Amino acid sequence: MRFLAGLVFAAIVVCGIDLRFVRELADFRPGTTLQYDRFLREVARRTPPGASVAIHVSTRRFEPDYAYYYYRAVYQLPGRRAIPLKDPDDRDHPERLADVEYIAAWASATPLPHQRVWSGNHGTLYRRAR
Amino acid sequence: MIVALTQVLILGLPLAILLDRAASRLRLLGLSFLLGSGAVSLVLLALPRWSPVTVTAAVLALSAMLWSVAWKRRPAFGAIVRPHPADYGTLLLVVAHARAATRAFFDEWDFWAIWGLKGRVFLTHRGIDWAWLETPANAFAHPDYPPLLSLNYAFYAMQAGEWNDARLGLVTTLFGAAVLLLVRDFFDERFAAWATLGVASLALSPWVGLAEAPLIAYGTAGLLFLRSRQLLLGALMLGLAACTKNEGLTLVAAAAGALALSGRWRDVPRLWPALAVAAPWQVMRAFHALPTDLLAGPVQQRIAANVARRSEFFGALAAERPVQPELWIALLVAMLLFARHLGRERFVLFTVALQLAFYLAAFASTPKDLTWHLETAAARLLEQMALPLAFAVLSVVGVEYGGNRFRTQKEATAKYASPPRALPEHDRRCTS
Repeated sequence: MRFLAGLVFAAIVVCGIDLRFVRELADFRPGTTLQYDRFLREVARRTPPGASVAIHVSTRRFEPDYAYYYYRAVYQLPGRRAIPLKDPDDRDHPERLADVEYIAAWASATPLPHQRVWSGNHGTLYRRAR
Repeated sequence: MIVALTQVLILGLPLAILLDRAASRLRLLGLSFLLGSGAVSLVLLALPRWSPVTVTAAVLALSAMLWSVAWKRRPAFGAIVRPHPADYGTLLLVVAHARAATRAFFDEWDFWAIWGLKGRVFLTHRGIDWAWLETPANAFAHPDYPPLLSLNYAFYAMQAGEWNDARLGLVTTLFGAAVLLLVRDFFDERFAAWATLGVASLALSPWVGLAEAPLIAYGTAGLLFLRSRQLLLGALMLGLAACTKNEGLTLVAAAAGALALSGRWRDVPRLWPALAVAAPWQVMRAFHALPTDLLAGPVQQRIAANVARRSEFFGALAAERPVQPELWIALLVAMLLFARHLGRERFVLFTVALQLAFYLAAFASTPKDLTWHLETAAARLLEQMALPLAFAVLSVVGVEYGGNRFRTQKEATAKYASPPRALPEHDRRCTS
């Protein structure tokens, strides 16, 4: 029984060692940053605290496509109010553009009819025309 | 990061000395981090407005008060434990986790949509932003979730002067390393180093940035202290687990149930510190009407509907794989082979079983799509209980391997300058 216990103990220890992170120790490539995050950081840099920023991304569904871009924008735009242009029922809300100060358009092929503030990293920041 | 970590330890160390005089150096270090992180979150919760100056002043004032009591109670440091070769393996796993956690951008949805997001919102607001939490559009961030981790993120970022995703990844590693120091100390010393190496990957959560790591740390620490009959520390740790995730609240209930099932009825009321620590957030949450989605709406109807889909549920559950399936197979085989000895660890095993039952109940009442919820949460939830389960099984198997010779009181006394307040039940039985 003692031999069996030793065997089982060793098996648990061996099976418990997860080497996934150890393998990455030899990977010296720099960490990556999402292009969308780089775009949002530029948006944060070019908009004042408290500004309302509509998130314009052409996706059909809210979950998971638009939700990803919207939630990520809420995270990357601290102190600004990220405004969704789509709701969880997949309905578009273009009327919300009337109440925002800025529009962050990501990967949008068609330019929006507003004052362009900056373009880069696959996106454009607009100030809403008044 | 270093300034904030130093403050966490300065605050945690006197607490650790006051609460666990018998602690070895390793345990004291791990305990200092866990208690300090919990205390920092409670300080931030209590302060209406934050700035680096006011927060640092509050932390230092509190730690000065604690030190004024703790310095009289010099901890009973034992001899420095010489590292075992297996300890270097554990250290390698910790270092590798730290490097991975700090070099990658956070791709975990729950970090930037829940835990990190709220930390960043609180940091920007310089306090708990109740208006933001109460806004229905922000319900996706689960405003009701306990804020210990988010508050710690805000603390580290505030003291560093900037929000840095990569650096905050280190918090996950620190919680894992802290509980490993405790686990190393709780294992029977004859096989502690190897056993700690075997469970290290369970403490070092692959879900970097999420609340899994602190929950595993506080939950496991709580159960191990309760197992050793250090009830106050065990209850406090469970209370901090309840300040970390809602699963921590059910863990308190599971531990209470397990105490009762293992014949320790009298210890159940002594878990009150867990509720006292968890209470402030729960009261504030109720005051601000931040509901838990699992309990909101027609719960009974949802349970009935989800139970009707049980074949689909169990089919999806069977398709789920734990993070380390080979380890789970090894643990299950060990439990079958040494079933008659498992009674020695019945408290921990009952707790794990009850907590898993709570998870099933949570799935039954989910307002989300049942299969989706299962696919996104099952492996994580299972992992929360893996460390205490592996600890219990390895303790049973290790003792069998060691010829059933429990640590004697003499050995325990040699390890600590003064004997521990209480040895585990089986230790006391065998040494009396």
